[in-house]
Amino acid sequence: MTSHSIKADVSRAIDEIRSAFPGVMLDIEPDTEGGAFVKAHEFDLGSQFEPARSWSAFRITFQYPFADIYPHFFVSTLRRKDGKPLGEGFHPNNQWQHPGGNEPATMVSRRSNRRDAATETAALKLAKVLDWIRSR
Amino acid sequence: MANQQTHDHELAKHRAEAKWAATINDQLFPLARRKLAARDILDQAGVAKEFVLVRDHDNPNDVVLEDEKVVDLAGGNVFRTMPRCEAGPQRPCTAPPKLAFVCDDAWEVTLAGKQTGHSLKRLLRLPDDADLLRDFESPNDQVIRNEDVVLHADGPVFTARRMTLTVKVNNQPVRFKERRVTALQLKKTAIDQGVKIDIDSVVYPVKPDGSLGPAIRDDEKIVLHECDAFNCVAPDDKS
Repeated sequence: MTSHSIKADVSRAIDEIRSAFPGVMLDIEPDTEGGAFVKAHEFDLGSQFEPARSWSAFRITFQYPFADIYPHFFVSTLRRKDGKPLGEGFHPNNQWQHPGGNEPATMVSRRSNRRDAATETAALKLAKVLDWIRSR
Repeated sequence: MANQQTHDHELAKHRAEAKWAATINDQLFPLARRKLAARDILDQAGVAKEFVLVRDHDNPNDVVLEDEKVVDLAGGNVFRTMPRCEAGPQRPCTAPPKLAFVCDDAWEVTLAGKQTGHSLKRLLRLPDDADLLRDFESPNDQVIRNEDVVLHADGPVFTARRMTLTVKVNNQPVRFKERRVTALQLKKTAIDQGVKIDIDSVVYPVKPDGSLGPAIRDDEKIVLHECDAFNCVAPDDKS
């Protein structure tokens, strides 16, 4: 499998993530359908969390831009500093499953029910998820 | 000669009336007059006594200003603060000071204290058709024509009127009559002009390099510039 198998729309989405988050490094793995598994290193999640920084991983499927991108995965050890549960929307004890292997992760599942395929990019979705986490 | 004297008199009067402001640690503070003691400036910015004022120059040797030092804002109105205990002996500073020109509570920093009306509009990212006025303490603000010479030393605070700004919202042009709007006003204006977004959309600024700024809250004020771009997307739901 080579990068040529990633669909143009998905490649564009990856480029937009690079532009939207300068300095963030991306690990890209193509899937077998024209989509890609993306792991982005790394983001500030807020001082209320420990660790305060994490990678974020997600899959952009071949249906993009017509399919939403969710869930997003973060470091498995993510917890609140105040000892309270992470809360609704967080799913600890999960796994980021990708062609390179499975790794323990915290899943954050945020669906965009009113998503507009013309405007909501993978980068904006990631920004929204990060903002949502930071606001917890 | 008489005309020149009248002009000089008017200019001197204007200088006395001009509004002044300074940026301290990247925040804007209006100040009562051109010359103030450093401590008075810090007090207006709510800075604790443990800090001293530092004038920002175009090199690493910024100038520490002792509390009683009278500061002429015409000699630089961009400052930061540092803990008093860290303000040791200074190296001589020969670099020019940074100058902030202010328009409607937004500002841009330059080293050039001499501008024209046109270059100042460009610096402040105002549209060419805007009316630029120097803001005075009196209601009689001074209209600045494109060809007029504008000196920072005559007052760095301006206001803009009668302008039309066009920004992009979800890649569609949206025109505004004012520069300072809330994110909610931005969305309402965009919707009124046919952009298909919901009023509860999340607003993200898109920087010229394509990077995304942080989401803007509905009640948060934005200073619009020509060609600014925003993306508005529906908020997420729990899945």
